[in-house]
Amino acid sequence: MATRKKAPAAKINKSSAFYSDIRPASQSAELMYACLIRSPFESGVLQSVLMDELPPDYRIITAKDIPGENKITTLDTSCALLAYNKISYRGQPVGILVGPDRTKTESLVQKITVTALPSQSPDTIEKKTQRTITYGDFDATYSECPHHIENTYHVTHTEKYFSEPNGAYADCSKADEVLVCTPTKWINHLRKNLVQVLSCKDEQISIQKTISSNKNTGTIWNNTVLACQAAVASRIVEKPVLLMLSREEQEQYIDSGDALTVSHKTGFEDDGEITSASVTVMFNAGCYAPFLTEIIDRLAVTAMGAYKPLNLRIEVFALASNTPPAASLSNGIENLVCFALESQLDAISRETGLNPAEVKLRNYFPRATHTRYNYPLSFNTELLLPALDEVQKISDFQRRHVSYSFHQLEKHTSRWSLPVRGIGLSSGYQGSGFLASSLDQLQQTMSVTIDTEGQVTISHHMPSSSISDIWTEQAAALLDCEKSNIHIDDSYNGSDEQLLPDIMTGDISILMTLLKKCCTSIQRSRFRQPLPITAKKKLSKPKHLSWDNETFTGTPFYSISWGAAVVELSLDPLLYAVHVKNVWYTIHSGKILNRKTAEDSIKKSTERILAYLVKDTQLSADNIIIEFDESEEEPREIGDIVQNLLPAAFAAAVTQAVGKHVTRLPLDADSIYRMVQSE
Amino acid sequence: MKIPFNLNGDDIVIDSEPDEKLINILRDSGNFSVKCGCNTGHCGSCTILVDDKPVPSCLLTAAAVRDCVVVTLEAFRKNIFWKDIETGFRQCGVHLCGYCDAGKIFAAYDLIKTEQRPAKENVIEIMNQFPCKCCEIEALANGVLAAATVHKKRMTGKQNGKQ
Repeated sequence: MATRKKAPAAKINKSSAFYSDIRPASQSAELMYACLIRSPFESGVLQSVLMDELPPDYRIITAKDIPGENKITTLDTSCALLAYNKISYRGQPVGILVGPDRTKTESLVQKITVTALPSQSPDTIEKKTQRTITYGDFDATYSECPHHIENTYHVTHTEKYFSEPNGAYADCSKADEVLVCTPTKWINHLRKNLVQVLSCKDEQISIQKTISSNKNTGTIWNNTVLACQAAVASRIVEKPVLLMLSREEQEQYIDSGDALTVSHKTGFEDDGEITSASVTVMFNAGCYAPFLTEIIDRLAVTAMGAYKPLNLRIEVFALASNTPPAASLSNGIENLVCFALESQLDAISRETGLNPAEVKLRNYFPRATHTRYNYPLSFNTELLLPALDEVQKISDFQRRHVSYSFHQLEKHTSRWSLPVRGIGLSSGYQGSGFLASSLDQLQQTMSVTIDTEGQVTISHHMPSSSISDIWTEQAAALLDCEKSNIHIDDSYNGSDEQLLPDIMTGDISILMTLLKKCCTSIQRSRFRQPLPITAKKKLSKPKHLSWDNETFTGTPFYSISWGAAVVELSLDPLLYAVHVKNVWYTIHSGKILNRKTAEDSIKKSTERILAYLVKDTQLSADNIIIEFDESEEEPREIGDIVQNLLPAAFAAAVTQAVGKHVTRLPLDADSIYRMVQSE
Repeated sequence: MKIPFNLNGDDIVIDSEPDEKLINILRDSGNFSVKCGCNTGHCGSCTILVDDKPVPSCLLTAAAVRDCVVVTLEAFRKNIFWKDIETGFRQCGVHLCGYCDAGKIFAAYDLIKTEQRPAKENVIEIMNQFPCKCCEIEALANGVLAAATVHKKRMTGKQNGKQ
């Protein structure tokens, strides 16, 4: 048995520590380690959670022990903190094992016996919710089109994260105090649920937000569940508790990724113009998905992008199943439908023999635009035009595309032993401030205070370091003061607490507008009013926004960035390995506040997305070239545009290199081999 | 089993199972710079220096460091070499996420120590092995090269001073 000196107490600093590094402030307090006891059954009625010889100091906590309600509420969805009766999926937490030794707790949890009766009516996969968008008459016109392409795309977005696994440190050892340290991305949600499960008062809860570098949107509400479990354990054993998922649990239940199937049926003319299009999206929502309505709506909006076929039918279905809850929020999943859409356009260009850019333009700007009266989704595609032109110029796309097509032809006539090349183009947008969301992003407020010493405090959640630099820079310029005088304070009290998850706030588009409003307001009253001055602003709905949630029509986003990407790669025909040579982007996102930060953000996203496009391979690009089509318009978000553009451009390039249409992502050496070998 | 080794300059003897992972021992003794990333030696977050060589501590058992000199990032940050790396990283705007720091910093240390002028391609290749994409790879490579320059200047300056 190992005996070691006790870890020294670490000071708890807001946003400056990892929760797993936090230890009790008092040397006398013993830290307990918690592990989740998971159901080995995918369905059934829970009977017991037992262990024959549980050592002293170790305790099993089940749903019966929860001091408050056994319920986590997220919007209009609720789920059990610990399964009490019904088991919904394999791996569902049914209890918590708490003990003083981490290694021993981890090993004991494997020995706990969970028993359950089989459920009387076994759950099956069922269609749950759906959103349909129609225009014209797809069924009547599809068969009349001169050309048809039907493809089904299967995509699983699984990004591997190697950052701290999710969990929480909780200290509820004192009856009237609750301290929770966790990398929460939705502090208001966590607070409300802590009140619910602990049956305590709001003011007794103190939440310390710790560092998080996991971009997975599923952590938004999963983290609340884990933090509440840690808090319940701590309240019951009356000691500080650290609950940290193992790497396997993190990958299996949180970073497991979302699977989508997208079926496209497209009828088009000789010139590539789509006249009839049907898109059916099937989304596995698992046993429940807290943001289901929003996910469904966003997938529906993105399924046809900004293209305008004369007859359109979009159907999105969520499938309920005995699998873990869907992990992503909508903006983490829409890239999968973007890939399917752009790949379908690429298939049309190959079928018609037209250049991919020409096919895209033909469908962004259809011949008889005036016939699209009251089109359900409206986008200003004019802004995409310069980006699409520019990306072709800087990448020499037209020439390379034709040249590599010849290479394709030669491949069939000669022995293929040299690397083949492929180049692919994609275009699209990133929308921010989704107006059909039940979480109204335009209801956010921000306050800025300048005190008597000239110190400026921006009261809002702490954004990423790069965004924080941009806010500081902008506030300093607007208030004519030193950058060192600007501080961001994310310690909330009561009514000031942000209602939205951090990831949904629109740090550049919406919050930057609020920051400007606050600073301008302070500047106006600065010489008429004594210091300190506080300006608190809320966004009013801009007049140009035309979204109607009742009819589900209009422009669905507060702001949109447009972009186009080209990927050039080579494929080793002996190793079936992909080598990404160049990636070019052109992006139209209004005013660029900090070019270096914007470029770094695009490059980092490129490396992150490339890493998941080919399984078990650390893919990276030799060169990433970025051009911004800058304007004086309000700045817009660009953080997620890469994930909407890159997979499709990559798939198009692979398609050209191997001569087979890519319908499944991620790829692997086997799938490339099969594509190359198939006739 | 009693295992003696030198941890961050202190000669210590731990009483541990011989197959217990070093990462757990180091974290339990308060060395929180050693992070548990992948538990397979792939991500580099748990890297430490064992006899001045970067090694993933999640793949080492306690018995493997018997009579070795183990240095974690906590102690390395007091070293003058760290100042060179910090300066180089700052010059090139490299901000690490805090979780992968040990792997990247010790890899940079090893590169600068073994090669006076590391080639950029070599640096990129090494840094690309770390799956954490918290900072842009080219900026990171430039940071390592800048750190190498700072280190070289400092070393040359010292030598000149002695002369």
